[in-house]
Amino acid sequence: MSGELWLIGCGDIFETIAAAWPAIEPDTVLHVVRLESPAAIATPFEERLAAASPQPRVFAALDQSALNFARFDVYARLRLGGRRFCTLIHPSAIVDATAKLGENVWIGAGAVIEARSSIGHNTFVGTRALVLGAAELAAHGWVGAAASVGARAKIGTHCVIGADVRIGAGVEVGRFSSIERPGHYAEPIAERTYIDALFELPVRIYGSARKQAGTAG
Amino acid sequence: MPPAAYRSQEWFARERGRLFRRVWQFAGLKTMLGEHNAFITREVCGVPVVIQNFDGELRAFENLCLHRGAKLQWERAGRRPLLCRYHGWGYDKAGAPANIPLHDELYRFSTAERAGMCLRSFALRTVGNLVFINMNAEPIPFEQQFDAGFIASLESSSNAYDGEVITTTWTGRFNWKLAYENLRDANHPRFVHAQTLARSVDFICNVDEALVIDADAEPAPGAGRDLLRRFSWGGRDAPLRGVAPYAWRGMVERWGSDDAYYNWLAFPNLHIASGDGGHAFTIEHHVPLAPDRTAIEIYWMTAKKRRPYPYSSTVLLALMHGSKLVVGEDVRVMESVQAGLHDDAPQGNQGAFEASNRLIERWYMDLMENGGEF
Repeated sequence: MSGELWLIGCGDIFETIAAAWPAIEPDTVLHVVRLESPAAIATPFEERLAAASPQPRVFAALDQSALNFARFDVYARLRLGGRRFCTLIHPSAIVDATAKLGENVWIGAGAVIEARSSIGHNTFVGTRALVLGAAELAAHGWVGAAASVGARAKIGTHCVIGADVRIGAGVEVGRFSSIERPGHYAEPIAERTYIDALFELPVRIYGSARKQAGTAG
Repeated sequence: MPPAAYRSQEWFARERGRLFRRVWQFAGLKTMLGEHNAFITREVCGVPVVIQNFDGELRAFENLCLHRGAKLQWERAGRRPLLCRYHGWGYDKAGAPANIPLHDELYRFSTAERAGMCLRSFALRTVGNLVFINMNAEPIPFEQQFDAGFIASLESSSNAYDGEVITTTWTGRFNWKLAYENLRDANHPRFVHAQTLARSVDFICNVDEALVIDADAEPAPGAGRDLLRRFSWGGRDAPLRGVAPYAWRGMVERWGSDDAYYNWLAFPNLHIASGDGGHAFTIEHHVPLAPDRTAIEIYWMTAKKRRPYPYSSTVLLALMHGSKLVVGEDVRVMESVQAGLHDDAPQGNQGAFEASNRLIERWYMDLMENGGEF
């Protein structure tokens, strides 16, 4: 791919991608828009891309805090503004030709994406992570370094699969969940479940985010 | 109190019988029980309890099937009929096994035997969105435990709760009483929470002179019953040094308009707070597990949403992380106190400011040593 690409964002993943350039796309000129912090997205940043050529490709790179919502916000605003997104794959990653990758997807160094797997828009797969055969990762997700997603596993939108987490074959992880305690997970994980070292038991959200529960009793 | 009150297994068992089996205890949120067949499960005084919605009516039962003793509901919360997974016995809102599959072929209970089968039930009372239960067959009146003003404040504030709730439980290595003592001590935040809570809240520490007199006075016979109501209070506690203008706060129906820290302390073991002037609420329930172990059940919910917003899960998760930080500071101190206790440890010296805790202690010790006045 030749031409220009505008990388916008901040944090470790942003710096990782910027540092790996130009190995990622040797013929593409990289322009960097470094935000001060994820909080900077609260103010308009679109004008910082104003100098971009008429149809520039862009890539939004922010870490996984707040269930990827900061990255989602940048991605969605630029997408609605008509920007074209690309997918970036580190040259040392192995991506099977039958895998489907959405836009604004990052595949990190040494990652392996096996056959018939799919990765939704705006999902990032970290260094040396494994996405095994026919696994499905929905949009706006994160797979940490050295994590693995088993064959035929299904990961919902906005999920975080932390570093060194292993999701078993065929396991479903509900949307808006974050699994950050390293280990093997062989059972289904309900949506809006948070497992990390801070809490000895999973944190769960009950009740609808969309409507008020009725009142009984 | 003597070290045994915090360490002894015998004391713990006596306390469970004399206190916890007699008082109203928090059991859950009505917002989690909003639909037919919605349920929550708890363990109260060592008894597995299920609270279930039957066509809009809430019932509390022992969560054990009358057939083989299997738990009827297994999850922490969910929505399914009150039906045993072992052999399919199904229960109605009276707690009777209304459906026993293959009854006539395999079990053949007589009519009289079946009529005698009923899940053990517990008294249940809702206040706004809060659900309380009482384990006693003849529970004390709710109004004997909490005064009308407190109940009204709980009702008003809890009716503001949103239906989306985040919850978890962690275990502290301390006796539950250290938690209620700590919560009634407004002088600890400036030391324990110097880098967190105390940076945003000016907790007010005053000596309540009338309370000091009461705490020091010889109690009149029969006064114990009335004392219980004085152990719980709530509402506006302290001024905030501002409320951060996070976008989500503009999307909820704030309870009240004060930039205040709200606290509700319900004796014996319930704490509710709003640390941001009524935009969000947390519930901490300190459940005794053993003399030196307490489950800390934490809930967070915002005030009712004006409209859904896509990142509400992350707001709740961030609030829960904040709890881990602040409550974690309390837990470390309480675990330190607990770890230092031994049979011959000196009893604490509580001053005038701690009259509230001393009043509770006097009532509690009478309960534990003499049976007390309920």
